[in-house]
Amino acid sequence: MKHKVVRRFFIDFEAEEAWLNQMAAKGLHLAQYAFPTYFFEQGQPGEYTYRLELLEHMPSHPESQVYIEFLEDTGVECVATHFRWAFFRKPTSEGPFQLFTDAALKIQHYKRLIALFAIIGGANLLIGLFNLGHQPGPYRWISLLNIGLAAFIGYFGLRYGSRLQSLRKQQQITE
Amino acid sequence: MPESSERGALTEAVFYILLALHTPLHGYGIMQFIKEISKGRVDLGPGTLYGAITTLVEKGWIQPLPGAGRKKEYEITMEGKQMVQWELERLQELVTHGQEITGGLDHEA
Repeated sequence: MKHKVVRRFFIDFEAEEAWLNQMAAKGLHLAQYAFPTYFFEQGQPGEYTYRLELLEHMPSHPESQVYIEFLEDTGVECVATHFRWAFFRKPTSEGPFQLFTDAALKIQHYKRLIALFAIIGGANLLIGLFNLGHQPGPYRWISLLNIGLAAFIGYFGLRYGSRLQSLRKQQQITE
Repeated sequence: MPESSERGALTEAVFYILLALHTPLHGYGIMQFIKEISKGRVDLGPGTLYGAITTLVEKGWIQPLPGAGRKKEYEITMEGKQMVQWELERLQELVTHGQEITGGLDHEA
């Protein structure tokens, strides 16, 4: 079986999901992931649909285990996990595959992402500001790097926030 | 008696899950049942189904059946059946008024 290895980094999981599905459409199916490396196996083009989820707990947590087993019983395969992220796929022959078909759970998922970004972004901002005051001159760039990273993460957090808002608006008129 | 806050409209997913569980089914069985009965219109995502099952068990509207095997089966409770009855009344009212005022489904369209 042919393999392909790609190193790539995504902050926006929806862009990552779209990319994995584009690869799958070309017959390259994600089989393993070890940050920041994606391992693909060659197969039939469009054989699988991929979906990513930031789980509520670590994948080894009993609640996550029960959840993943539940998904597996519906024909979903958990291809890889990384930190709290899970990479799921389902054969396209079994129909369209969405993890969440209701706005409430999509909103819950965005909230989980925003909370994570707030922690990472906030920590970077604090470390950056603290070091800015304490680091000697030549190391200042490290604190600026932290602050820059915080701004970058903050930007993506806001993007998730606006997607969440538009779901909420939709929820006011439809289920 | 449930509190009045529990008398809101049920989501389509919840209503269909409660209907499905008039016969004991496991998760995948519920998905299949709903897809079939709605002729493919309602295709529940497994994440959504899991969330709904968890909430309905907490509320006591459905219950897991005792038994071995990791594929848990669920069935509707008396309280769940009562919820379905109330929802049917509500839906009936919507349909009745809708038909009265618009003259019913426009099959020509």
